[in-house]
Amino acid sequence: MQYMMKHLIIVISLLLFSKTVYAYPEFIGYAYSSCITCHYNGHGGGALSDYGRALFATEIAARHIYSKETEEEEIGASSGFFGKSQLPWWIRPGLKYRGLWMQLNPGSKQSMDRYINMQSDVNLNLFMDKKQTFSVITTAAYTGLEPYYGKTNVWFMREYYLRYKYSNNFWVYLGQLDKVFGLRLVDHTAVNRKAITLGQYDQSQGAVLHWTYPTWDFAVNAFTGNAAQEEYDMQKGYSISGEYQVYEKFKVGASALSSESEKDQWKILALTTRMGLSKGSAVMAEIGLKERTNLVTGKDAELGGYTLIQSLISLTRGYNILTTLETAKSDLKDAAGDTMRWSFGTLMFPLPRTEVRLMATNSKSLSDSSGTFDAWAVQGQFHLSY
Amino acid sequence: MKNNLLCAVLVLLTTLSTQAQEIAEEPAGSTEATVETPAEVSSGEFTKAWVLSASNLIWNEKLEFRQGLGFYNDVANFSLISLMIKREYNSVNWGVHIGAMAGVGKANGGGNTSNVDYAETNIPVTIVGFTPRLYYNLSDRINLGLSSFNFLKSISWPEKTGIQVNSGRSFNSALALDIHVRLFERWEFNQGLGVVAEGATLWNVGFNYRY
Repeated sequence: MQYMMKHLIIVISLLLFSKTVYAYPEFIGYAYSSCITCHYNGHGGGALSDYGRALFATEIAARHIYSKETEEEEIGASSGFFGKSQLPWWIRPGLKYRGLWMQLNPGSKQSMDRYINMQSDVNLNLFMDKKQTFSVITTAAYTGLEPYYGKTNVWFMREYYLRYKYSNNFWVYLGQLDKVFGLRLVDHTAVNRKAITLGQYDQSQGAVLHWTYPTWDFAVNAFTGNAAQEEYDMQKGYSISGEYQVYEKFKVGASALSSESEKDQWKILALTTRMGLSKGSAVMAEIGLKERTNLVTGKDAELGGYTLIQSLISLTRGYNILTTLETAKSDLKDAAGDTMRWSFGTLMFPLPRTEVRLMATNSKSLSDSSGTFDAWAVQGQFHLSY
Repeated sequence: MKNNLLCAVLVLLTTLSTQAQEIAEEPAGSTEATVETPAEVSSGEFTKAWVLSASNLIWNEKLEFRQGLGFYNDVANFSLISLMIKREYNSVNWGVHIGAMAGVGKANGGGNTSNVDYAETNIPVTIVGFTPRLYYNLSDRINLGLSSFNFLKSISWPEKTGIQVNSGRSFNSALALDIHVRLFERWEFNQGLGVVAEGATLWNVGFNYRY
């Protein structure tokens, strides 16, 4: 009982202050090509700014609950943490929950259901001045059953960093935050995230220098590992990433990362592109090379590759078709060894602050020793952003 | 290694920027402006175009073994590069493609049943066929469609003493839901997912060139 009360007090006290939303680079379809437009983090992910909240309410989410007479300005104005009530300029709290129900091998005897609390975050963002020259961005999170470096059912600090805005074109971030690399998707299990040390728990202590201009941006990130990791697991290194706007709603970019722990060494290189099609629709892709060296076994480095192509097709405001095509190969020297995954379904924002995904996934693999059967999974996701 | 990686990235970034700047020198929004829009077609009229398509076709099939009096099932995976030429008839909202296709690739199969000792990889396979498609224009750059892949397949699984091998039929027909996305004036990205037979899915991923 005392344990529950302690958690309840922590949740309530954090509720009074805090918003986490992961990045949606596909929103280039709305002509928002830069993450800093909506997020406190210039590379996306984490808490939404006031502008991001208003944009979510007035452009992304459906407006079923509002009458036809309700102006978009009014909807935007009610997107704050306490609705229309303004908080003092120096504080912006937020909440984020993501839940996943999935069924593996639906319709077969091996069918298996599972519900996962993927994300339970509480944000507290503090500003030292009205222009937000100095900001402190924090996200506390609860693991649930998904272990955070071996620990389950615990609160932990996902990210905490100081953001310094030198000018509108140059930003400095110092603390624990996501590493700068490639397309920062909301799906942390994608081939370009968790599999290459960029998962939802792979935030790292370090510094990011970010130059951003209307047609290009470039960032350098030096990092030393996550504070919750054991020393021998900490990936220490650097990454660089840049994007160039060829023309409106069409960007190309490149990223590189080099890091090393006592156990393994990673070198990753990726090319990215994002293209807005019609309003709300976009296609984006990342193709990468990943070299992993196991420093414990001393085996030769394995050079692999991956590809991700995601299409977001807007049907009407708040309702979209989403398809993601992923391939991965752990060793390019293997004639086979490809794993491929195709996820397709709907991405919906039926109400303000909510997101619902209904997806099916078909997985294939090519083996160099046998034929392989398809694997299917269906899933539903519910996201609440407050 | 670190230096090499850094150099490679710098060269890459420089190259990308150079290419990008060259493209950016075109009048702003030129690409979007030159994309042919279905709205320009009046109701009841069709615009016509040729579409060349290069795609990766991937599908699974049931692989059947006969050994003595016993029948055993396994699976075969096919991966081909196919070329298609299609005639497009596009109206305001709807359109059709009528085309022919040919492809070459490889197949892997067997190895999953303990009753039969048979597993082969990289077996050459060729296909020829025709592929009609009906589509709906969601916007001037996106259409959703239903494609039918109808093809004759040629493959010769290596013989093994006492084992007869048969993978599916020679003539295959698959229905696929697909999306075509116009990236540039003449280039499209296409992706489709369909069904060849019960439990056997087909992927079609590639690029189209319109002229």
